[in-house]
Amino acid sequence: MKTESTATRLGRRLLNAPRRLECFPFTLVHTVINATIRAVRLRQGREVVRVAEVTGEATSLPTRVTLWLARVSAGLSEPRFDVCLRLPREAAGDSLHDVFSVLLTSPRLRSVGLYWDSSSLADDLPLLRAKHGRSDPTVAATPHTDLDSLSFERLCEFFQSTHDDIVLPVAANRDAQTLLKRQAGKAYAVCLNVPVDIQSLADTLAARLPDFRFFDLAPNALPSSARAANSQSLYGYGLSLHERTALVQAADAYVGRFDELGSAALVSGRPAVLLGGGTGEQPDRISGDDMAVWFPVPVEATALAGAVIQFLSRQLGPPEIDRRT
Amino acid sequence: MTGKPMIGVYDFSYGPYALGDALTWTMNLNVGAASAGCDAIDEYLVINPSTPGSRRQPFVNPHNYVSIIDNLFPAFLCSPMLRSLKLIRHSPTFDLFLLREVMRRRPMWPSFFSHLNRKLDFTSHRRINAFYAEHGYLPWLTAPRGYGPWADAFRRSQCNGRFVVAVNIRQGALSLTPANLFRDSPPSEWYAFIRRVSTRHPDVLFLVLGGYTEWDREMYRLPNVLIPRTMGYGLGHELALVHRADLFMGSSSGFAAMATFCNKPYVISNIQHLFSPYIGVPVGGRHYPFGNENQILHWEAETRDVLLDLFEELHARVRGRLTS
Repeated sequence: MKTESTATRLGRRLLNAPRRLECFPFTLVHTVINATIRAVRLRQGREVVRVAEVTGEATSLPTRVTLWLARVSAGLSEPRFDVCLRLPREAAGDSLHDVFSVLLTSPRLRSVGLYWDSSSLADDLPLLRAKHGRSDPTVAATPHTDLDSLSFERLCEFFQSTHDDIVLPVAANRDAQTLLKRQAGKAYAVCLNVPVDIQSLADTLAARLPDFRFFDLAPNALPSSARAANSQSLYGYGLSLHERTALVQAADAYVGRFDELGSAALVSGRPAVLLGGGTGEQPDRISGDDMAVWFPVPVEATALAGAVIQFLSRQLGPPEIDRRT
Repeated sequence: MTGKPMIGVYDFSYGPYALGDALTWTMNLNVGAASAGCDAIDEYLVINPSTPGSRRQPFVNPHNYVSIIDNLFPAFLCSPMLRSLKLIRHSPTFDLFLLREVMRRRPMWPSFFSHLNRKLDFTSHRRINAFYAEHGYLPWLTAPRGYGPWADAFRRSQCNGRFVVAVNIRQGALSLTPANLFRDSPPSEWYAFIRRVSTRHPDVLFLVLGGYTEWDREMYRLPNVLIPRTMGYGLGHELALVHRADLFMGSSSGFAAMATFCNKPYVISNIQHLFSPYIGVPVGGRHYPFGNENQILHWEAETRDVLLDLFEELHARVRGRLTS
């Protein structure tokens, strides 16, 4: 990102001076100047907004928003932009908080708009979209991306491209590092997020890799009391999405669903085994760069365990053994 | 929903990051919308990333504000009239929206002039009480958008038809951002109360609410208790559970504001006397001006006996109402 010139910095300080007085009429002056600057930038065509719409079921919405945001970020040269999400009024489910958390991980977002009404969205877009874009019939409509499906193609596109970093709150990163230091020491830490139908994979990995430490984030995971000593469930820790994402990014490897956590593992560049997301017509196994492998269609847990162990051994080598536990 | 909207501005440069204040702000929006004949609410949450907090909350800084707003977000989803919610981290963008709304003469909370003077009445019930006095009803809050059906499913799958009491015990000393510790409640009295209730009323299930750090480990050992945070749920789920519970009991703090403004039967305890002029209730007053006989205020620190008496009074009445 370009650093500000001295002139820009001085100009901004001058403009902010009335605001620091924090009372009328100085704040009014500041508001009018600010709004004028924004209007001029819109007229100059220097502002970008991206819009997505969810009209049907809200399943996997955080994952769909993650992929959409990555796609939008990759396609824009502007350092900052606005996003709007049109949501169904009743069918948003209980994932709205996670959607918001996903959007907060992009420092490039200047504003986030959540809309439950199309007319309200249409009313706001002229204040977010460049003016010349509005009058030019070829670009008159800001493209609305339909987030209704989490297709194999979208996952594949994400799997094979490079991405902006996810920027997480410092506290989430710090707490993740601290937890792994305390619980895993110098042993390799692997985050698990395995689908319920192959839950036995988690047990097999823990049994066959006794010197690794496994941290299970899946909602359906067995409680720690019913697991091997080197494996524990973190679901009951009440972690927010940011905290879970930070754990995935701080661990040495990830094995689990290709959801928002799987996406975060890919972005971090750590070794990742991704599961699911295919429709049955895809190859059993897709390799990305050296660091990631994806099994899009369901694979029997025993066969999968062999492949995962081979992958982890190749990526991480023999573990640094921590015998404290 | 395409009618006339009410505009809500929550600018964190002078508004606090606090659950109770966010819910009171939302309730003021509801009341303002009903007064002005609006049927929709457009919310603007405004943050300047370089100075994200007010002078009252110096611990909010550019490195931690994302966590704090993320943790608070579901509180802004509790108006049934909510039509749009915008989080804006860029002053010129917000100011252009603001001037547009002013030029359209849209009703706004706080008013444009108050916003220019960086003033927000985020504590008092002045407008809420006045609206109730004039109209005899209030436009209540509801479960956060999208979370209501989840709460219904939770009650079916986890509560097995039992009488559900949502509980929040203020433990600021255990909070990530400790403040006003004199408002904390004595946890040992609550534990004793919950144990007694489990013996006398085994059909009662307590849902203990609050951030993961904010309740004591003792809670795990209490009978008839579920802790939604240990089940992977967050604030949105907890607010929805308050809305769907049969009764709320807790210290005067954020969750109590949710119970107050979504019209649940409640006991709110340990209310600070200095709040009296802000809420329009004399010290010792048993109800808010808009409260009914099942909505009780208790102005002193809790004891197990008082909690049990208040619980049994409400349990009998609410249970009777539910079965009838």
